[in-house]
Amino acid sequence: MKIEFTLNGIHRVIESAPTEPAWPHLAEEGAREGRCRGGNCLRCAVLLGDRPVPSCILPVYRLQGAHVTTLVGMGENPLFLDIMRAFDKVGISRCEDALPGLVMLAYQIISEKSIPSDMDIQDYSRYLVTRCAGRDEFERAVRLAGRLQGRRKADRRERVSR
Amino acid sequence: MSTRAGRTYSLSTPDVLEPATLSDLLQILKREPEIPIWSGGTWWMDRGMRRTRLVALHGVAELKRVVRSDIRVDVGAAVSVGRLREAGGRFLPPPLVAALDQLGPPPVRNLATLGGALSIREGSLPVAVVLQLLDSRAEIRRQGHTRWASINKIDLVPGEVLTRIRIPLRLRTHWMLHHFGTAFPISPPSLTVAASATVEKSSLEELHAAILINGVHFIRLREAESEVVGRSLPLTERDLRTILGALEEERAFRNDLDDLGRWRATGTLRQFLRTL
Repeated sequence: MKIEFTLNGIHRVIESAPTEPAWPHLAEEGAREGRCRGGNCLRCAVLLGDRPVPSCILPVYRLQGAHVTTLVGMGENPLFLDIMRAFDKVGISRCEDALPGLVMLAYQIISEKSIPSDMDIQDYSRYLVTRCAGRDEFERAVRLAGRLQGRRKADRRERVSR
Repeated sequence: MSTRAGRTYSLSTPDVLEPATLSDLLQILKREPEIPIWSGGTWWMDRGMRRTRLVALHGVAELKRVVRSDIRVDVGAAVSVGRLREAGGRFLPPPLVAALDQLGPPPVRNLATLGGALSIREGSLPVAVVLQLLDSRAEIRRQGHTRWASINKIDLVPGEVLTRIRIPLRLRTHWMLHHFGTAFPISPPSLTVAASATVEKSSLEELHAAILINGVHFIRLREAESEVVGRSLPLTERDLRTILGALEEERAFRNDLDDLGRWRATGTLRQFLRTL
């Protein structure tokens, strides 16, 4: 079947069987190959619209008309920039294997909860399956990214009200 | 493709039918009862299932609604677990929230749906035990016909689709959910033990206990539960024996669990009853 979608802002047309995994079609734009093939390792996570999903178990027909963003395409996203700044501040390594999962988990927590509580962050961090970042470091980074994002939103509101 | 009302529903390709309304979906299922129904698709993708023709539920508006009243919540079968968890975190019963969390990491939950988790033919996931415990029911529809089924009796025949899950919102003061083994994919040996209770003025107002063995055998202890309801707390050793004795008499408990599994099931249940 012919599938049209937007990948990192670029219109794409691919030909594929409908229930093939989406990952191979996103790989050249930065989606990494998962190790688990079940969506648990989060290496292959991408944004489908505004929600992170594992591309290894994402059927290709779901791409039809969708906006997909890989880690490579998130460069201009303000929340992504805050997350990366927080990761650098806390000292989380930019390991290529672990980064997609770490960033996507952090992205989901902050976009869902704005200012997440410690309990929320702990709920999510138990899904980390990497040795490149400890849970403590990840939780500190998410807290910091949440604060940065909150400050950015407050600044924006202030500018609008002026 | 046009419907009886003269409207058209989106049909991206001849291979994947994407109805926009429930009536369109039911018409497709009437015409092609054997067509595979894909909701989140996580189960099929995880198992490497490939299909060339299917009907996808992600565009059906009626199946993506969560309707809440004071006494119950109706969850559309195609609501993603992630959205349900996000929207219902404040009002869904805590054991259900815990069971939803067991369906996988947040990115998987963004794809997976509650309807999909309950429609697996190979067995049941822990979330089904909790829904059973909460006395939830599932609405199953085909063209011109609707039926309600208990969560452990969702046997979809060709042409039928699970459309919504009705969850009563009753206050329960105590609950527990323990899962041993792999929850997803369903692979023996696995054991889920869940229980909930309502305690008021030092007496047991309500007790529900459910056990799922190897993702296949459901055990509910309704008679034993009703025997101990109304007793003053803490429960006596005799009351505990009533419940645990009823469990030990179940054939699936004796035949499908090894010694460790039996010990875990009785141990967790005993511990829960003692905390009341």
